[in-house]
Amino acid sequence: MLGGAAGGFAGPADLDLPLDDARLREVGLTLGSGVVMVHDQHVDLVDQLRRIAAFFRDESCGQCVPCRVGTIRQEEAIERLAAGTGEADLSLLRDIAGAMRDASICGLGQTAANAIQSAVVRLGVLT
Amino acid sequence: MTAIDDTRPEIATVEAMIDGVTVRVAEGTTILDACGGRGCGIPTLCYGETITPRNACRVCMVEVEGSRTLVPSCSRPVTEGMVVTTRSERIDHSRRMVLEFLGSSVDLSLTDHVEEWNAEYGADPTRYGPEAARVDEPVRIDNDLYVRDYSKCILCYQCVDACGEQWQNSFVIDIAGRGFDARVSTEHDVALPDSGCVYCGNCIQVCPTGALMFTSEYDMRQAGTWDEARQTQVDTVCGYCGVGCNLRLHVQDDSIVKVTSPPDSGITSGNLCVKGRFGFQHAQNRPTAD
Amino acid sequence: MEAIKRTTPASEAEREAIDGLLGPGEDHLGRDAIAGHVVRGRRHLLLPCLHALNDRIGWISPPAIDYLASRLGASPAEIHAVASFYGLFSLSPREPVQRHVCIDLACRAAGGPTEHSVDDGAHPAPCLGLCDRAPAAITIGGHDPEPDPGLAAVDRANDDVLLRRVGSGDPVDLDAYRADGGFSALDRARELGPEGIIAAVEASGLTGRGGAGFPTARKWEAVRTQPVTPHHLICNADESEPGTFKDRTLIENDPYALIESMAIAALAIGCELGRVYLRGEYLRAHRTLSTAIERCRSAGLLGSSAGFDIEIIRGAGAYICGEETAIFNSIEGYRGEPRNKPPFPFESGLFGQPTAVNNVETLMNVPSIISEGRRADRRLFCLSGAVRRPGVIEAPIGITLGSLIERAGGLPRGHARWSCRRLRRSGRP
Repeated sequence: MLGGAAGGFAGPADLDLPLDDARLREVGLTLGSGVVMVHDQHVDLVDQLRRIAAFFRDESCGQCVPCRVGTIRQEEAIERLAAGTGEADLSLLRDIAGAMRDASICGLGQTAANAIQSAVVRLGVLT
Repeated sequence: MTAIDDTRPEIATVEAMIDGVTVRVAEGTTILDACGGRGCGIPTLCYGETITPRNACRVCMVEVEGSRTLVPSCSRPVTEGMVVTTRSERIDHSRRMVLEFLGSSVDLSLTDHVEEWNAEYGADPTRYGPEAARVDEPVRIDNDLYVRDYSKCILCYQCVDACGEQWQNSFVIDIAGRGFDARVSTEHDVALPDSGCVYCGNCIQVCPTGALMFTSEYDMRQAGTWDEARQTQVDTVCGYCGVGCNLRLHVQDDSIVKVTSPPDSGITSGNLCVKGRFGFQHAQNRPTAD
Repeated sequence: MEAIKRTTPASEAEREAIDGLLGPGEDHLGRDAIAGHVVRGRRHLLLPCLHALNDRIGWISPPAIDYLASRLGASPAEIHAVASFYGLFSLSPREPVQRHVCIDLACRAAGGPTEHSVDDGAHPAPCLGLCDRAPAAITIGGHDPEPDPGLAAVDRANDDVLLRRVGSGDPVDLDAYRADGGFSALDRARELGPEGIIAAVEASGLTGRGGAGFPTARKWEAVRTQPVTPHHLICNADESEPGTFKDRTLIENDPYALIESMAIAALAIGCELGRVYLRGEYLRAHRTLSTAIERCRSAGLLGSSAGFDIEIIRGAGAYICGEETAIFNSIEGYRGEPRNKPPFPFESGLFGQPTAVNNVETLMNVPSIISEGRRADRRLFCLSGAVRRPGVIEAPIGITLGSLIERAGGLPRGHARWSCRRLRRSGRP
């Protein structure tokens, strides 16, 4: 995980990636606050995503709707996906991510779907 | 005799492009107002005429060229050279999601326009399933004058601002808690009679969702007798003191069922005190037959 | 505001906790709330007062809220609203000393508990910034709280700039800091003047290290040229992004460098009082930085004679308060909700006045930029999880992910079925 819960996931194919904001942006990643959290095959990535979703649900201040409700709907969709139900939930997650990114007041809501989306898109987690 | 200077200061204006049309508006005009204000086609939920917008609901978002995210039209002033788009796939998606987020978490049955907007933007609040978390709050009936049902609350902040520094300066309610658990609340959620509430009812006046309601209206809705089609509105002046507040009496079957004040009134801006708002019973104490 | 009279008054301990910060109160309890500009002008002391109550009593009771409201000319609902915003405060009774157990990403991956499996009586906590020693827990509260365990692990290299002093002796030894060239950059900055400082920072290419990456020189120039005064400087040390612990490492190990950096930044933007908004859970960093600030005041390096002072504001468990406008509301004594931009902080920030908010690591780049003309081409990385030596590593920007992981010792033996080297060949595990 690069850049923290508001950052994204890189995979084994990305080991030659230079950690430079401009280069990372090209592939949809960020250095954020400099987090490099390494996970091996023993780590349950789905569990990590569940925690990321719960983290943003806990930390949303509640002021604006996209973040206040979006973070809890994101968590619910992830819990359903983790339980192995609901193909439709992947597109729901994408829908939620778009609204949070575009319409939230601050950076918290705008980035609350980043890591989850990158895990789905780049690593195929939950798919 | 001194000559009167008749030249008025010129109002500064800015020019912008909205949906391909060039507009010139006074400096400080919001995008929403430049588009024609409420009812112009841009949906609004937390926006109220008498309260400074908090842009918390994010349903009025538009695109502004050069902005990474969408922009709340209710509070962003038009600036020189701004290029605004009020409908696009991205905007529609965002509006649809906000409508779904609110529709799936609170009761919007008394909120104006929601059904037509849901249809317009293809919002389906039921797609989050029956397990989707909702704002589950008991109806608070703790006084004779008004009822609070926060399961209808969209956290528009208008009641908080009306109670606080924008109108009443009572500061009896505020947002407590955080995230999805945030609620409008008195301290420790004490009942209104144990709080500093002065029952001006200015919070009811600004509530857009029916979360705050006259007890008279609540009781009639419970009894199934509330019928706005049968109601008339009578504007008059409050007779309690010399201020001369404008009252709007909502009358059904020859009885006053609630009292508001015209938001555009230069005297009250929609605000009243407890006497003007709730002291209407004496007006309908008619002599009985015996 | 309407005064409310309730029967239960605040306890003596509660009043003492509050009076310790606000001075002795008059006997308000038999009277209506005391209001007025002077009283309301102390609203920024609300967060420190809530901390004082929480540390001493363990929770914030209704009578304590009533008393605090009367002392600050605010309503009980407003105080309750603020108190209920923060994760470290409790509105129901509990012991003054609490165990906070991390349930976040690195600790969870290391076998730590989840929200539902923490021990009875312990609080589940979001990332505590102790990922280098996952699974982690800390103790908070009480009169003299024990600082969190040990200094952060650091992988030092000879060419380190930001981590140069880390682990090299007593971090609060002011003489040692000065003997090592400390405060010479500040002297140089005084010669350069505000415009010279900003030009040097611009030439270095320094950008924000908190996550957003905004050019620092542009931020400072925008604040410097604002006609409205005073100008504010806030050092954002509310490090809460899960997996991040570099700012904690810097403050715990090199507090004088942060003080010097802030003094230079203050010179650049024209500010007389800098504020460090420090994460509430960072007790060791708080203790270290407080001691360093005190010693600087004694030495005349901070305080009225120096023309610049620093105060620490302790956060209270809210990730959102690291957002640069939420931080203003939090410091001012309101709920830490972000504000709309525009207006931007450089024109209307803390107390509605021009404000620069800079991350700890960003600021710590400044002294070597001023004294050596260095380019800001290095960054700190927080390595955690499945690596042999988790900790903070300083590396040139552009280092590859694989090399960085190798510097952290690579993956632990037996833990991974692939090595970095093999991976690079095969592409996938």
